[in-house]
Amino acid sequence: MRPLRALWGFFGSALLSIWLLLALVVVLCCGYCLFEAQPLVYQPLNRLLLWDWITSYGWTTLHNTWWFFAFIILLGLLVLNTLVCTWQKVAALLRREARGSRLDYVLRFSPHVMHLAFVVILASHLVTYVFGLNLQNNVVLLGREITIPGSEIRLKLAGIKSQFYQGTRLAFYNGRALTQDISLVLTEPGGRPVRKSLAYNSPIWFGGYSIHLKNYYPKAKRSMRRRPYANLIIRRDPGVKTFFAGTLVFAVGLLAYLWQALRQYRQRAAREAHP
Amino acid sequence: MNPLTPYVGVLFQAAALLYVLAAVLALLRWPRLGLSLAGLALAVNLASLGLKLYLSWPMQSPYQEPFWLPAAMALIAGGAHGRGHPFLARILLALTAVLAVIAALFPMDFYLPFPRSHTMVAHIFLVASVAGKACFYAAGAAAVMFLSHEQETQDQDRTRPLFGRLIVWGFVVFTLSLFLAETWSYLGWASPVIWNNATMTSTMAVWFYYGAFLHLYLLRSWPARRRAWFAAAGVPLLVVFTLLPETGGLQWPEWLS
Repeated sequence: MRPLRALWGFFGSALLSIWLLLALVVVLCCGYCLFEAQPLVYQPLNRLLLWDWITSYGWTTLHNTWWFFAFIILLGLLVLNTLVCTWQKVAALLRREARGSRLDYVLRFSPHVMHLAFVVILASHLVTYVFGLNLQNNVVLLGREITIPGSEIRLKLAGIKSQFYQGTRLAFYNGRALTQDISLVLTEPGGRPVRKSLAYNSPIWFGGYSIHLKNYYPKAKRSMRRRPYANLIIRRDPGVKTFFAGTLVFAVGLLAYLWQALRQYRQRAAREAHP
Repeated sequence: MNPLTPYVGVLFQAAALLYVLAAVLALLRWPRLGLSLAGLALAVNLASLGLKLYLSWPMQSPYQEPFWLPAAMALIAGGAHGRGHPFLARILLALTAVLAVIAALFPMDFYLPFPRSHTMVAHIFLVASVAGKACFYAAGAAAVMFLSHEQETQDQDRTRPLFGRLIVWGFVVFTLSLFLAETWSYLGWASPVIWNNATMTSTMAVWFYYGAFLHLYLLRSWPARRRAWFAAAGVPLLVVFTLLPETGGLQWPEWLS
Protein backbone atom coordinates (compact mmCIF):
# COMPACT_ATOMS: atom_id res chain seq x y z
CA MET A 1 0.00 0.00 0.00
CA ARG A 2 2.86 2.33 0.87
CA PRO A 3 4.50 2.22 -2.59
CA LEU A 4 1.14 2.99 -4.17
CA ARG A 5 0.64 5.94 -1.88
CA ALA A 6 4.15 7.18 -2.66
CA LEU A 7 3.42 6.85 -6.37
CA TRP A 8 0.11 8.71 -5.91
CA GLY A 9 1.95 11.48 -4.10
CA PHE A 10 4.72 11.58 -6.73
CA PHE A 11 2.32 11.85 -9.66
CA GLY A 12 0.22 14.48 -7.88
CA SER A 13 3.14 16.78 -7.15
CA ALA A 14 3.32 20.28 -8.61
CA LEU A 15 7.10 19.99 -8.84
CA LEU A 16 6.70 17.09 -11.27
CA SER A 17 4.36 19.26 -13.42
CA ILE A 18 6.99 21.97 -13.67
CA TRP A 19 9.81 19.57 -14.51
CA LEU A 20 7.66 17.88 -17.14
CA LEU A 21 6.65 21.22 -18.67
CA LEU A 22 10.27 22.36 -18.78
CA ALA A 23 11.37 19.03 -20.26
CA LEU A 24 8.70 19.53 -22.95
CA VAL A 25 10.11 22.99 -23.67
CA VAL A 26 13.61 21.55 -24.14
CA VAL A 27 12.41 18.65 -26.29
CA LEU A 28 10.27 20.93 -28.47
CA CYS A 29 13.16 23.36 -28.97
CA CYS A 30 15.32 20.42 -30.10
CA GLY A 31 12.34 19.35 -32.24
CA TYR A 32 12.27 22.76 -33.87
CA CYS A 33 15.91 22.47 -34.98
CA LEU A 34 15.53 18.85 -36.13
CA PHE A 35 12.27 19.64 -37.99
CA GLU A 36 14.01 22.54 -39.75
CA ALA A 37 16.84 20.19 -40.71
CA GLN A 38 14.56 17.55 -42.31
CA PRO A 39 11.01 18.87 -42.84
CA LEU A 40 10.20 16.15 -45.39
CA VAL A 41 10.29 13.53 -42.63
CA TYR A 42 7.37 15.21 -40.81
CA GLN A 43 5.17 16.31 -43.70
CA PRO A 44 3.75 12.79 -44.22
CA LEU A 45 2.10 13.18 -40.79
CA ASN A 46 -0.43 15.34 -42.65
CA ARG A 47 -1.71 12.28 -44.53
CA LEU A 48 -0.61 9.18 -42.57
CA LEU A 49 -1.99 7.75 -39.36
CA LEU A 50 0.38 7.83 -36.41
CA TRP A 51 1.33 4.15 -36.48
CA ASP A 52 1.92 4.18 -40.24
CA TRP A 53 4.17 7.24 -39.87
CA ILE A 54 6.09 5.64 -36.98
CA THR A 55 6.76 2.43 -38.91
CA SER A 56 7.61 4.16 -42.20
CA TYR A 57 9.40 7.38 -41.17
CA GLY A 58 9.72 7.56 -37.37
CA TRP A 59 11.83 4.46 -36.72
CA THR A 60 13.90 4.69 -39.87
CA THR A 61 15.09 8.25 -39.13
CA LEU A 62 15.39 7.97 -35.38
CA HIS A 63 18.50 10.18 -35.32
CA ASN A 64 16.16 13.02 -36.35
CA THR A 65 12.79 11.95 -34.91
CA TRP A 66 13.87 10.95 -31.37
CA TRP A 67 12.44 14.19 -30.02
CA PHE A 68 8.98 13.25 -31.33
CA PHE A 69 8.99 10.03 -29.28
CA ALA A 70 10.33 11.88 -26.23
CA PHE A 71 7.53 14.42 -26.77
CA ILE A 72 4.85 11.70 -26.81
CA ILE A 73 6.26 10.04 -23.66
CA LEU A 74 6.46 13.37 -21.82
CA LEU A 75 2.90 14.24 -22.86
CA GLY A 76 1.75 10.86 -21.51
CA LEU A 77 3.45 11.55 -18.18
CA LEU A 78 1.99 15.08 -18.11
CA VAL A 79 -1.51 13.67 -18.66
CA LEU A 80 -1.01 11.24 -15.75
CA ASN A 81 0.35 14.03 -13.57
CA THR A 82 -2.52 16.36 -14.56
CA LEU A 83 -5.20 13.76 -13.78
CA VAL A 84 -3.78 12.81 -10.36
CA CYS A 85 -3.07 16.42 -9.40
CA THR A 86 -6.52 17.59 -10.51
CA TRP A 87 -8.18 14.75 -8.62
CA GLN A 88 -6.32 15.64 -5.40
CA LYS A 89 -6.91 19.37 -5.71
CA VAL A 90 -10.61 19.11 -6.64
CA ALA A 91 -11.24 16.63 -3.81
CA ALA A 92 -9.57 19.03 -1.36
CA LEU A 93 -11.56 21.95 -2.75
CA LEU A 94 -14.86 20.06 -2.44
CA ARG A 95 -14.08 19.07 1.16
CA ARG A 96 -13.39 22.67 2.05
CA GLU A 97 -16.34 24.90 2.89
CA ALA A 98 -16.79 27.97 0.73
CA ARG A 99 -15.24 30.83 2.71
CA GLY A 100 -15.98 34.37 1.63
CA SER A 101 -17.67 34.97 -1.68
CA ARG A 102 -19.39 32.07 -3.45
CA LEU A 103 -18.08 33.39 -6.76
CA ASP A 104 -14.47 33.20 -5.56
CA TYR A 105 -15.07 29.60 -4.51
CA VAL A 106 -16.51 28.66 -7.90
CA LEU A 107 -13.71 30.45 -9.77
CA ARG A 108 -11.15 28.37 -7.87
CA PHE A 109 -12.25 25.42 -10.00
CA SER A 110 -11.23 27.19 -13.21
CA PRO A 111 -7.63 25.81 -13.42
CA HIS A 112 -9.01 22.31 -12.96
CA VAL A 113 -11.52 22.84 -15.76
CA MET A 114 -8.59 23.81 -17.99
CA HIS A 115 -6.56 20.79 -16.88
CA LEU A 116 -9.35 18.36 -17.71
CA ALA A 117 -10.02 20.09 -21.03
CA PHE A 118 -6.29 19.82 -21.82
CA VAL A 119 -6.45 16.05 -21.29
CA VAL A 120 -9.58 15.85 -23.50
CA ILE A 121 -7.81 17.82 -26.26
CA LEU A 122 -4.77 15.52 -26.19
CA ALA A 123 -6.93 12.38 -26.10
CA SER A 124 -8.96 13.60 -29.09
CA HIS A 125 -5.72 14.22 -31.04
CA LEU A 126 -4.66 10.67 -30.30
CA VAL A 127 -8.03 9.30 -31.48
CA THR A 128 -7.70 11.32 -34.70
CA TYR A 129 -4.17 10.08 -35.41
CA VAL A 130 -4.95 6.46 -34.54
CA PHE A 131 -8.49 5.84 -35.83
CA GLY A 132 -9.13 8.58 -38.38
CA LEU A 133 -9.35 8.34 -42.14
CA ASN A 134 -7.33 10.89 -44.08
CA LEU A 135 -7.66 10.79 -47.86
CA GLN A 136 -5.67 13.51 -49.58
CA ASN A 137 -5.75 14.31 -53.32
CA ASN A 138 -9.17 13.09 -54.46
CA VAL A 139 -9.35 14.69 -57.89
CA VAL A 140 -12.87 14.98 -59.38
CA LEU A 141 -13.37 16.27 -62.92
CA LEU A 142 -16.30 18.56 -63.64
CA GLY A 143 -19.45 16.52 -64.27
CA ARG A 144 -17.79 13.29 -63.07
CA GLU A 145 -18.64 11.22 -60.03
CA ILE A 146 -16.50 9.30 -57.51
CA THR A 147 -17.37 7.03 -54.61
CA ILE A 148 -15.95 8.07 -51.25
CA PRO A 149 -13.47 5.29 -50.34
CA GLY A 150 -14.74 3.00 -47.59
CA SER A 151 -18.34 4.03 -48.14
CA GLU A 152 -21.07 3.95 -50.76
CA ILE A 153 -21.54 7.69 -50.83
CA ARG A 154 -21.31 9.05 -54.36
CA LEU A 155 -19.86 12.50 -54.92
CA LYS A 156 -20.29 14.48 -58.12
CA LEU A 157 -18.62 17.74 -59.05
CA ALA A 158 -21.58 19.71 -60.38
CA GLY A 159 -20.05 23.14 -60.91
CA ILE A 160 -17.22 25.58 -60.27
CA LYS A 161 -17.97 29.26 -59.94
CA SER A 162 -15.44 31.89 -58.95
CA GLN A 163 -15.61 35.57 -58.18
CA PHE A 164 -12.59 37.07 -59.92
CA TYR A 165 -10.94 40.15 -58.53
CA GLN A 166 -10.87 43.17 -60.80
CA GLY A 167 -9.37 46.46 -59.78
CA THR A 168 -6.16 48.29 -59.02
CA ARG A 169 -5.90 47.91 -55.24
CA LEU A 170 -4.82 44.23 -55.36
CA ALA A 171 -2.97 44.71 -58.65
CA PHE A 172 -1.07 41.41 -58.30
CA TYR A 173 -4.40 39.58 -57.97
CA ASN A 174 -6.16 40.98 -61.01
CA GLY A 175 -8.22 38.34 -62.79
CA ARG A 176 -7.61 35.72 -60.07
CA ALA A 177 -10.34 34.07 -57.99
CA LEU A 178 -11.02 35.77 -54.68
CA THR A 179 -13.87 33.47 -53.66
CA GLN A 180 -15.07 30.19 -55.06
CA ASP A 181 -18.23 28.11 -55.03
CA ILE A 182 -17.49 24.44 -55.71
CA SER A 183 -20.84 22.71 -56.11
CA LEU A 184 -20.95 19.07 -55.04
CA VAL A 185 -23.85 16.62 -55.26
CA LEU A 186 -23.67 13.87 -52.66
CA THR A 187 -25.85 10.76 -52.68
CA GLU A 188 -26.11 8.11 -49.99
CA PRO A 189 -27.30 4.63 -51.09
CA GLY A 190 -31.08 4.80 -51.40
CA GLY A 191 -31.04 8.48 -50.50
CA ARG A 192 -31.89 11.63 -52.41
CA PRO A 193 -29.03 13.67 -53.93
CA VAL A 194 -27.95 16.56 -51.71
CA ARG A 195 -26.29 19.62 -53.21
CA LYS A 196 -23.61 21.31 -51.08
CA SER A 197 -21.29 24.21 -51.66
CA LEU A 198 -17.58 24.00 -50.89
CA ALA A 199 -14.85 26.69 -50.72
CA TYR A 200 -11.46 27.37 -49.12
CA ASN A 201 -11.93 27.56 -45.33
CA SER A 202 -15.49 26.34 -45.76
CA PRO A 203 -15.61 22.53 -45.69
CA ILE A 204 -18.78 20.47 -45.85
CA TRP A 205 -19.89 17.62 -43.61
CA PHE A 206 -21.85 14.67 -44.93
CA GLY A 207 -22.49 11.11 -43.68
CA GLY A 208 -19.75 11.28 -41.04
CA TYR A 209 -17.15 12.65 -43.48
CA SER A 210 -15.74 16.14 -43.82
CA ILE A 211 -14.75 17.31 -47.28
CA HIS A 212 -12.22 20.13 -47.69
CA LEU A 213 -11.09 21.96 -50.80
CA LYS A 214 -7.37 21.43 -51.44
CA ASN A 215 -7.10 22.84 -54.94
CA TYR A 216 -9.21 23.44 -58.04
CA TYR A 217 -9.06 24.66 -61.62
CA PRO A 218 -9.57 27.22 -63.10
CA LYS A 219 -8.52 29.79 -60.51
CA ALA A 220 -7.96 32.69 -62.91
CA LYS A 221 -10.05 34.37 -65.58
CA ARG A 222 -7.42 33.72 -68.23
CA SER A 223 -6.28 30.15 -67.78
CA MET A 224 -4.98 27.47 -70.11
CA ARG A 225 -7.70 25.33 -71.65
CA ARG A 226 -7.86 22.32 -69.35
CA ARG A 227 -10.68 20.29 -67.85
CA PRO A 228 -11.98 21.94 -64.71
CA TYR A 229 -11.45 19.86 -61.59
CA ALA A 230 -11.54 19.99 -57.81
CA ASN A 231 -8.94 18.30 -55.62
CA LEU A 232 -10.57 17.30 -52.34
CA ILE A 233 -9.39 16.18 -48.92
CA ILE A 234 -11.84 13.64 -47.53
CA ARG A 235 -11.64 12.93 -43.81
CA ARG A 236 -13.44 10.87 -41.23
CA ASP A 237 -12.15 12.29 -38.00
CA PRO A 238 -13.66 10.67 -34.89
CA GLY A 239 -11.74 13.01 -32.55
CA VAL A 240 -12.42 16.40 -34.06
CA LYS A 241 -15.77 17.12 -32.35
CA THR A 242 -14.30 16.20 -28.97
CA PHE A 243 -11.26 18.30 -29.82
CA PHE A 244 -13.30 21.43 -30.45
CA ALA A 245 -15.54 20.73 -27.43
CA GLY A 246 -12.37 20.44 -25.30
CA THR A 247 -11.04 23.66 -26.80
CA LEU A 248 -14.27 25.47 -25.96
CA VAL A 249 -14.25 24.20 -22.36
CA PHE A 250 -10.56 25.16 -22.05
CA ALA A 251 -11.35 28.67 -23.30
CA VAL A 252 -14.18 29.03 -20.76
CA GLY A 253 -11.86 27.81 -17.96
CA LEU A 254 -9.16 30.19 -19.19
CA LEU A 255 -11.45 33.22 -19.09
CA ALA A 256 -12.72 32.22 -15.63
CA TYR A 257 -9.06 31.90 -14.54
CA LEU A 258 -8.35 35.42 -15.83
CA TRP A 259 -11.41 36.73 -13.97
CA GLN A 260 -10.18 35.03 -10.79
CA ALA A 261 -6.67 36.46 -11.18
CA LEU A 262 -8.01 40.00 -11.73
CA ARG A 263 -10.37 39.72 -8.73
CA GLN A 264 -7.53 38.51 -6.52
CA TYR A 265 -5.36 41.41 -7.66
CA ARG A 266 -8.13 43.94 -6.93
CA GLN A 267 -8.83 42.40 -3.52
CA ARG A 268 -5.12 42.54 -2.64
CA ALA A 269 -4.92 46.15 -3.79
CA ALA A 270 -8.00 47.05 -1.69
CA ARG A 271 -6.47 45.34 1.38
CA GLU A 272 -3.23 47.27 0.90
CA ALA A 273 -5.14 50.58 0.52
CA HIS A 274 -7.23 49.95 3.68
CA PRO A 275 -5.21 47.64 5.93
CA MET B 1 2.21 46.19 -58.42
CA ASN B 2 0.15 48.82 -56.69
CA PRO B 3 2.20 52.09 -56.65
CA LEU B 4 1.47 52.45 -52.92
CA THR B 5 3.26 49.17 -52.07
CA PRO B 6 6.78 50.63 -51.47
CA TYR B 7 5.34 53.03 -48.89
CA VAL B 8 4.52 50.12 -46.55
CA GLY B 9 8.25 49.55 -46.03
CA VAL B 10 9.18 53.23 -46.02
CA LEU B 11 6.57 54.02 -43.37
CA PHE B 12 7.72 51.13 -41.20
CA GLN B 13 11.37 52.18 -41.52
CA ALA B 14 10.38 55.72 -40.49
CA ALA B 15 8.49 54.29 -37.51
CA ALA B 16 11.57 52.24 -36.49
CA LEU B 17 13.74 55.36 -36.63
CA LEU B 18 11.23 57.29 -34.54
CA TYR B 19 11.04 54.44 -31.99
CA VAL B 20 14.86 54.51 -31.66
CA LEU B 21 14.85 58.28 -31.21
CA ALA B 22 12.00 58.05 -28.69
CA ALA B 23 13.81 55.36 -26.70
CA VAL B 24 17.07 57.35 -26.63
CA LEU B 25 15.25 60.50 -25.46
CA ALA B 26 13.24 58.57 -22.85
CA LEU B 27 16.31 56.80 -21.46
CA LEU B 28 18.34 60.01 -21.31
CA ARG B 29 16.77 63.09 -19.79
CA TRP B 30 13.56 63.68 -21.62
CA PRO B 31 11.08 60.92 -20.83
CA ARG B 32 8.01 63.01 -21.73
CA LEU B 33 9.44 64.06 -25.06
CA GLY B 34 10.44 60.45 -25.66
CA LEU B 35 6.92 59.22 -24.97
CA SER B 36 5.38 61.87 -27.22
CA LEU B 37 7.73 60.82 -30.00
CA ALA B 38 6.81 57.18 -29.33
CA GLY B 39 3.18 58.20 -29.90
CA LEU B 40 4.16 59.59 -33.30
CA ALA B 41 6.18 56.42 -34.04
CA LEU B 42 3.14 54.32 -33.14
CA ALA B 43 0.95 56.39 -35.48
CA VAL B 44 3.43 55.88 -38.37
CA ASN B 45 3.72 52.15 -37.49
CA LEU B 46 -0.10 51.85 -37.58
CA ALA B 47 -0.20 53.73 -40.89
CA SER B 48 2.23 51.17 -42.35
CA LEU B 49 0.15 48.26 -41.01
CA GLY B 50 -3.07 49.88 -42.25
CA LEU B 51 -1.62 50.40 -45.73
CA LYS B 52 -0.38 46.80 -45.84
CA LEU B 53 -3.86 45.60 -44.82
CA TYR B 54 -5.45 47.83 -47.45
CA LEU B 55 -3.13 46.32 -50.09
CA SER B 56 -3.97 42.73 -49.15
CA TRP B 57 -7.51 42.77 -47.69
CA PRO B 58 -9.50 40.49 -47.46
CA MET B 59 -6.40 38.29 -47.49
CA GLN B 60 -3.26 38.48 -45.42
CA SER B 61 0.45 38.22 -46.17
CA PRO B 62 2.56 35.77 -44.18
CA TYR B 63 5.34 36.84 -41.78
CA GLN B 64 3.60 40.02 -40.61
CA GLU B 65 4.07 39.58 -36.87
CA PRO B 66 7.44 41.42 -36.57
CA PHE B 67 5.78 44.58 -37.94
CA TRP B 68 2.81 44.35 -35.56
CA LEU B 69 4.88 43.56 -32.49
CA PRO B 70 6.44 47.07 -32.01
CA ALA B 71 2.96 48.62 -32.20
CA ALA B 72 1.65 46.26 -29.51
CA MET B 73 4.73 46.90 -27.36
CA ALA B 74 4.35 50.69 -27.74
CA LEU B 75 0.71 50.42 -26.64
CA ILE B 76 1.76 48.45 -23.55
CA ALA B 77 4.50 51.04 -22.85
CA GLY B 78 1.84 53.77 -23.01
CA GLY B 79 -0.36 51.76 -20.65
CA ALA B 80 2.54 51.27 -18.21
CA HIS B 81 3.20 55.01 -18.23
CA GLY B 82 -0.49 55.78 -17.67
CA ARG B 83 -0.65 53.37 -14.73
CA GLY B 84 2.25 54.94 -12.90
CA HIS B 85 5.20 52.84 -14.07
CA PRO B 86 7.28 55.45 -15.94
CA PHE B 87 10.58 53.59 -15.64
CA LEU B 88 9.05 50.38 -17.00
CA ALA B 89 7.54 52.42 -19.85
CA ARG B 90 11.04 53.62 -20.79
CA ILE B 91 12.48 50.09 -20.69
CA LEU B 92 9.58 48.90 -22.86
CA LEU B 93 10.26 51.71 -25.32
CA ALA B 94 13.87 50.56 -25.61
CA LEU B 95 12.70 46.99 -26.26
CA THR B 96 10.17 48.29 -28.81
CA ALA B 97 12.95 50.14 -30.63
CA VAL B 98 15.12 47.00 -30.77
CA LEU B 99 12.23 44.90 -32.12
CA ALA B 100 11.31 47.56 -34.69
CA VAL B 101 14.91 47.81 -35.95
CA ILE B 102 15.11 44.01 -36.29
CA ALA B 103 11.85 43.99 -38.27
CA ALA B 104 12.98 46.90 -40.47
CA LEU B 105 16.43 45.52 -41.30
CA PHE B 106 15.69 41.79 -41.41
CA PRO B 107 12.32 41.45 -43.17
CA MET B 108 11.33 38.04 -44.49
CA ASP B 109 11.25 37.90 -48.29
CA PHE B 110 8.31 39.67 -49.85
CA TYR B 111 5.38 37.27 -49.95
CA LEU B 112 2.04 37.87 -51.58
CA PRO B 113 -1.22 37.39 -49.67
CA PHE B 114 -2.55 33.86 -50.07
CA PRO B 115 -6.15 32.79 -50.78
CA ARG B 116 -6.58 30.62 -47.66
CA SER B 117 -6.01 33.69 -45.46
CA HIS B 118 -9.34 35.04 -46.70
CA THR B 119 -11.13 34.50 -43.38
CA MET B 120 -11.71 36.63 -40.29
CA VAL B 121 -10.25 33.84 -38.14
CA ALA B 122 -6.83 34.46 -39.74
CA HIS B 123 -6.95 38.20 -39.05
CA ILE B 124 -8.07 37.82 -35.42
CA PHE B 125 -5.42 35.12 -34.94
CA LEU B 126 -2.66 37.52 -36.06
CA VAL B 127 -3.78 40.26 -33.65
CA ALA B 128 -4.20 37.85 -30.71
CA SER B 129 -0.87 36.12 -31.33
CA VAL B 130 0.98 39.44 -31.44
CA ALA B 131 -0.83 40.75 -28.34
CA GLY B 132 0.02 37.59 -26.37
CA LYS B 133 3.70 37.70 -27.32
CA ALA B 134 3.90 41.45 -26.59
CA CYS B 135 2.61 40.74 -23.06
CA PHE B 136 5.34 38.09 -22.62
CA TYR B 137 8.04 40.53 -23.81
CA ALA B 138 6.68 43.22 -21.48
CA ALA B 139 6.64 40.72 -18.60
CA GLY B 140 10.31 39.96 -19.29
CA ALA B 141 11.14 43.68 -19.18
CA ALA B 142 9.14 44.13 -15.95
CA ALA B 143 10.95 41.14 -14.43
CA VAL B 144 14.37 42.57 -15.35
CA MET B 145 13.33 45.85 -13.76
CA PHE B 146 12.16 44.04 -10.64
CA LEU B 147 15.51 42.24 -10.38
CA SER B 148 17.52 45.42 -10.87
CA HIS B 149 15.50 47.36 -8.26
CA GLU B 150 15.19 44.72 -5.59
CA GLN B 151 16.96 46.86 -2.99
CA GLU B 152 14.34 49.59 -3.33
CA THR B 153 11.32 48.30 -1.48
CA GLN B 154 8.85 50.74 -2.98
CA ASP B 155 9.75 49.89 -6.55
CA GLN B 156 9.71 46.20 -5.74
CA ASP B 157 6.16 46.50 -4.43
CA ARG B 158 5.09 48.25 -7.58
CA THR B 159 6.67 45.81 -10.02
CA ARG B 160 6.07 42.55 -8.22
CA PRO B 161 2.52 41.91 -9.36
CA LEU B 162 3.21 43.41 -12.78
CA PHE B 163 5.26 40.72 -14.52
CA GLY B 164 3.00 38.00 -13.12
CA ARG B 165 -0.12 39.78 -14.32
CA LEU B 166 1.37 40.46 -17.73
CA ILE B 167 2.13 36.77 -18.10
CA VAL B 168 -1.42 35.85 -17.07
CA TRP B 169 -2.78 38.21 -19.75
CA GLY B 170 -0.23 36.99 -22.27
CA PHE B 171 -1.01 33.34 -21.59
CA VAL B 172 -4.77 33.89 -21.93
CA VAL B 173 -4.51 35.83 -25.20
CA PHE B 174 -1.77 33.58 -26.64
CA THR B 175 -3.78 30.43 -25.85
CA LEU B 176 -6.88 31.90 -27.51
CA SER B 177 -4.72 32.73 -30.55
CA LEU B 178 -3.57 29.10 -30.70
CA PHE B 179 -7.19 27.92 -30.63
CA LEU B 180 -7.97 30.32 -33.48
CA ALA B 181 -4.96 28.98 -35.40
CA GLU B 182 -6.21 25.41 -34.92
CA THR B 183 -9.69 26.37 -36.08
CA TRP B 184 -8.28 28.08 -39.18
CA SER B 185 -6.01 25.11 -39.82
CA TYR B 186 -8.94 22.68 -39.61
CA LEU B 187 -11.15 24.77 -41.92
CA GLY B 188 -8.40 25.42 -44.47
CA TRP B 189 -6.20 22.32 -44.35
CA ALA B 190 -8.54 19.68 -42.82
CA SER B 191 -6.56 19.21 -39.58
CA PRO B 192 -6.12 21.32 -36.43
CA VAL B 193 -2.39 20.55 -36.58
CA ILE B 194 -0.41 20.84 -39.81
CA TRP B 195 3.08 19.39 -40.04
CA ASN B 196 4.40 21.78 -42.67
CA ASN B 197 6.26 24.27 -40.57
CA ALA B 198 8.72 23.86 -37.68
CA THR B 199 7.37 26.95 -35.90
CA MET B 200 4.49 24.75 -34.71
CA THR B 201 6.91 23.05 -32.30
CA SER B 202 8.49 26.28 -31.09
CA THR B 203 5.04 27.82 -30.53
CA MET B 204 4.15 24.83 -28.35
CA ALA B 205 7.47 25.27 -26.49
CA VAL B 206 6.57 28.90 -25.69
CA TRP B 207 3.10 27.84 -24.51
CA PHE B 208 4.51 25.15 -22.20
CA TYR B 209 7.15 27.56 -20.88
CA TYR B 210 4.62 30.15 -19.77
CA GLY B 211 2.32 27.36 -18.59
CA ALA B 212 5.20 26.28 -16.32
CA PHE B 213 5.53 29.86 -15.06
CA LEU B 214 1.86 29.90 -14.03
CA HIS B 215 2.44 26.73 -11.99
CA LEU B 216 5.40 28.21 -10.09
CA TYR B 217 3.15 29.79 -7.45
CA LEU B 218 2.43 26.25 -6.24
CA LEU B 219 6.05 25.90 -5.15
CA ARG B 220 6.74 27.68 -1.89
CA SER B 221 10.46 27.45 -2.58
CA TRP B 222 10.08 29.80 -5.57
CA PRO B 223 9.99 33.37 -4.27
CA ALA B 224 9.28 36.41 -6.45
CA ARG B 225 12.97 36.90 -7.29
CA ARG B 226 13.33 33.43 -8.80
CA ARG B 227 10.03 33.79 -10.66
CA ALA B 228 11.34 37.08 -12.06
CA TRP B 229 14.40 35.26 -13.42
CA PHE B 230 12.08 32.74 -15.02
CA ALA B 231 9.99 35.50 -16.65
CA ALA B 232 13.13 37.28 -17.90
CA ALA B 233 14.52 34.04 -19.37
CA GLY B 234 11.38 33.81 -21.52
CA VAL B 235 12.55 36.76 -23.67
CA PRO B 236 15.48 34.96 -25.38
CA LEU B 237 13.20 31.98 -25.92
CA LEU B 238 10.67 34.27 -27.63
CA VAL B 239 13.34 35.93 -29.77
CA VAL B 240 15.01 32.72 -30.92
CA PHE B 241 11.92 30.60 -31.45
CA THR B 242 9.17 33.03 -32.47
CA LEU B 243 10.80 36.21 -33.78
CA LEU B 244 13.81 34.92 -35.75
CA PRO B 245 11.77 32.37 -37.76
CA GLU B 246 9.68 35.32 -39.02
CA THR B 247 12.70 37.36 -40.10
CA GLY B 248 15.06 37.03 -43.07
CA GLY B 249 18.53 38.21 -44.09
CA LEU B 250 19.83 41.75 -43.72
CA GLN B 251 18.22 44.16 -46.21
CA TRP B 252 19.26 47.78 -46.09
CA PRO B 253 16.41 50.18 -46.86
CA GLU B 254 16.52 51.34 -50.46
CA TRP B 255 16.95 54.99 -49.49
CA LEU B 256 20.10 54.04 -47.51
CA SER B 257 21.69 51.90 -50.18
